[in-house]
Amino acid sequence: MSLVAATGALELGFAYALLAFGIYISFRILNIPDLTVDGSFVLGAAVSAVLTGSGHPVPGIAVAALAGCAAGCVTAIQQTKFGIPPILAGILTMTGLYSINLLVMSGKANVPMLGKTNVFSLLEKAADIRYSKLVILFFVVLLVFLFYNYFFKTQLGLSIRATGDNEAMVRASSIDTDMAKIIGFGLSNATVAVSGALVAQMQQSADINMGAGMIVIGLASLIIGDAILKNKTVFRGLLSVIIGSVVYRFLIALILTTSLPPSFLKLISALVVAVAISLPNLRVKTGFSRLRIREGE
Amino acid sequence: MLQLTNIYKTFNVGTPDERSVFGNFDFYVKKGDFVTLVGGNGSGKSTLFNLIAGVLLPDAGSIVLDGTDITTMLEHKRAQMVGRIFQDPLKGTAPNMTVEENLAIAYMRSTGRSFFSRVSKKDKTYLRERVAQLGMGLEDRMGAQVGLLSGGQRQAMTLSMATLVTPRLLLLDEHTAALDPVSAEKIMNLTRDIVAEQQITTIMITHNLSSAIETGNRIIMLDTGKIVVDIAGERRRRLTVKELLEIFQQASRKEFDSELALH
Repeated sequence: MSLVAATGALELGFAYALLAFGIYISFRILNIPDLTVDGSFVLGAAVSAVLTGSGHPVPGIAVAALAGCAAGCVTAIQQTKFGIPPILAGILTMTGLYSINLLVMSGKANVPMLGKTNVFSLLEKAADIRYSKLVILFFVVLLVFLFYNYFFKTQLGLSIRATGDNEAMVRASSIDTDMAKIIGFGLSNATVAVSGALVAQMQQSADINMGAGMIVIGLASLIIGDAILKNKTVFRGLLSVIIGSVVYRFLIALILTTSLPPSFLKLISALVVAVAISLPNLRVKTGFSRLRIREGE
Repeated sequence: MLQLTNIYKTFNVGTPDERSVFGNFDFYVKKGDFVTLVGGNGSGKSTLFNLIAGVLLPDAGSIVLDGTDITTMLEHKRAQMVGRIFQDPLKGTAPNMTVEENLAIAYMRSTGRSFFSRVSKKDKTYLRERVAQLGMGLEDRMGAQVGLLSGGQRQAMTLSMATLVTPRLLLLDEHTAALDPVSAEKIMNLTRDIVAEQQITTIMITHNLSSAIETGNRIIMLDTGKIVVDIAGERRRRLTVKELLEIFQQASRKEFDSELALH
């Protein structure tokens, strides 16, 4: 693998680590699959592209976070206050977001930002740094990592974690579990939207379809990270998510060096997740069948 | 202290499965009382607890705790005043969080800290001391995941969490029934000690007639939504298991006979 390809993989790994953080919060901490991310990722990208286009790249990322947070809250409110099953609630928000995203992008399926100042070129201009993308992305990931590592040990953070772990117990300790879920989903999708916002500025364009399959990519990172670093504590969990995201991007980069067409990437991602989740179950089943054979002998 | 007045509760209203559990039900518990509650399956014990804890709302009537009308108060708000421990030791603790984190949730919440406060060094020392009082060796395992503990240890933790800050009312729902005899005995002794020390008004559901007699100062038997036995004071002190069993059988036979007479 060339240095350029390796740098690119590392950059993407960091950018998508934020996406994986978001999915880690909904999927692992709150223990609820959230399909909103496919929409909130694009929402972040769209907001950031439009604001970058009008010369505000940094506010673009902040507003993207707020927009993503709102999208997450909508999904959580559907679940908690209106009793819509979690998966459906996510699909509904994701579907609705398609129209919202098009609205943000003024009805165009693609918003290019070629030649516009973005956060990366800002740093290049300010300080003559070669790897501006890598530096910015690294520090954003570090910041978000430190924030969550702190937050999930505060009273509110502990309440959110306990809500995913044992909801009945949390209600009995006088904590509003609905509120815990809404805040958790808000944070999760805000982080995902920031990921989309950074990716859009990196690629200098936002596309209405760039969110397809984001949940699978995020899950793949989680699972790879889990395999490398058993993640029982929040610190290790968040760290494993970053590692997983980077490793996933290197795997993709390796696959790209083969003759396989890039359009196969989504299929491969889906397979990675399916195999990784089914392996432990298959092991149990084959274990049982071996037992049965032994009994038959 | 706790006053239930004129409570009505019917399940599955308007369906063939309609079942009335409470009709015109009154119940009063004095401050500092430790009531043991016995009764067969379907007698309404759990429904009574669910009504007091706010899991269920009564169809009619009022529930007043310490002068506050809590009839329609939300479950998690009520939880600030009412502690509850279930039969299942898995229900009261979060398995993937550490002993310290579990205790911290109960502690910080009830001491009214800000949302963004974290457990301080002082809190940690305090929580360790409290856990040491349980005599379960948990003080050396503050960083261990609760899922790795035994049922007895988890139930002791739940007890500790429910009483870290003294609740106005403690509801114990057969909280030793799922434990082995040694652990059950230990938890029962802990319960008596903590309740006595903090003078908590307590209601305990139990199927174990001897612990119903050995614990508390008032015994109540519930049958099909009615209090059929209510013994306190001097008579309660002299009560034996044999006597209680006879009363238990008599009361349920009477109920049975009167039901037969109706048909």
